Amino acid sequence: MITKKGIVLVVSILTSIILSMAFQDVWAEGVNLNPSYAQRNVGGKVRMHIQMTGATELLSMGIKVTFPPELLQVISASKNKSVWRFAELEPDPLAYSPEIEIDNTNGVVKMIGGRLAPGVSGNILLGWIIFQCSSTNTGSASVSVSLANPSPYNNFVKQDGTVSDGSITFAGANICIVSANACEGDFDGNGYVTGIDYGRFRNAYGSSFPSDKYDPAADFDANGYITGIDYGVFRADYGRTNCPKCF
Amino acid sequence: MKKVIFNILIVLITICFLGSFALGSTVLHMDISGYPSGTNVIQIQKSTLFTIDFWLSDVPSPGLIAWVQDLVLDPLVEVKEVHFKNPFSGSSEIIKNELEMTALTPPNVSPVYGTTVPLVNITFHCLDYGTTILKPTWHFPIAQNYVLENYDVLDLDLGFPEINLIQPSQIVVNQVPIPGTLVLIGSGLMGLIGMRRKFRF
Repeated sequence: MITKKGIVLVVSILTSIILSMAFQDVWAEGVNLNPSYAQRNVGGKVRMHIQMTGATELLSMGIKVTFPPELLQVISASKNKSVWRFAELEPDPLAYSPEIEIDNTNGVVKMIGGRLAPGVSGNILLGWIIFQCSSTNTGSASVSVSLANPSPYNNFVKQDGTVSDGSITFAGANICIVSANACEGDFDGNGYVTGIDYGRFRNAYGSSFPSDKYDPAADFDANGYITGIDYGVFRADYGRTNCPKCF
Repeated sequence: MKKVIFNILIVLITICFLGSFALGSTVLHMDISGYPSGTNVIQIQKSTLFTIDFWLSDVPSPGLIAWVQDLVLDPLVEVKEVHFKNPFSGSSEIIKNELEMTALTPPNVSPVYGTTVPLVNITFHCLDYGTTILKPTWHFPIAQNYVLENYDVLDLDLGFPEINLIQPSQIVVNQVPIPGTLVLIGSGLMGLIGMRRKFRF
């Protein structure tokens, strides 16, 4: 027989599970790259956003992006200057210091940013990189993101002085470079350009950076605008089931 | 001499004849439903609805696959409905004082071209008296607002028309500003009260 006590126990356990899941979602801090997958022909471009989720009153960040230099080169890299700046120093360039380090020889980009209180919370765009794919080499380019500087340095510091370097989860990306007939519109990398991919393109179409609707995955020429030219590329791919694969 | 002139005339006539077969440059039209095409000034009543038809003339092959268009609004009019014409799949949003429209020819549908390509009908509600100008503007600052399937862009061809809407039939002209009017009425009333009191005593 199910007793009242038993029901109360089950309900309280379920409630605590749901609550803990909800809080985990809210408070989990993560840094990821968008797009997490992209396919391009040789010589193509990829605009990659470095995004943080679940930030709480953050005053500083420090990230390192690594990539295979034989497959990718960085055209430009920027911090999100609307977040990472010391407004009191403007217009002095020191307001945005320190500068970004781009090392195309070893395949490393370092970005360090800071601001004065109040800290920033929620989902934040940390910065972005525009990659140029190799004009000759093909293959899968693995792009990873990690802390800019190892301990004892502090990278992600909150307004109350706590450091969240140890609790952040990092997720990288993969750029598949092929010699021809790339499926740029295969956003999820499943080998097909389907209605799901169309939905994602449709949501972003007509937007430009820094609009909330802007999705770098759909900006195939990496110019900051998702226009009819990008749609032409997507449309040419739509319905394909023969997308090239990267091994 | 006569022969030279004759030859030049023949060449000119040939050029004109061949030119008549070429598709003209694409033009964006804004027509007011129920009025002759090209009408750009109308008079309508307050609180009524009117519809603007956007269409393109002379869209070349292989046809239009994507377009975006903004329209500057003012507080005199309110957008009631935006109806994208077949085969375009579109969405619209009002941001600040602009109606932003984005539309695509779905991937499995042939792009459209020809002498007349309807884009969208927008129905407005006239909220107040006065004059309003509906002015189309570019959505993207780069020339990629109207794109053909072969990646050609039409932006450079498009001349932007303007539509003036005037609602003069019931215009209320305040010769004296409202606060001034109140002062006048107030002082008049005070005077009347004063006169009444004077005659009473």
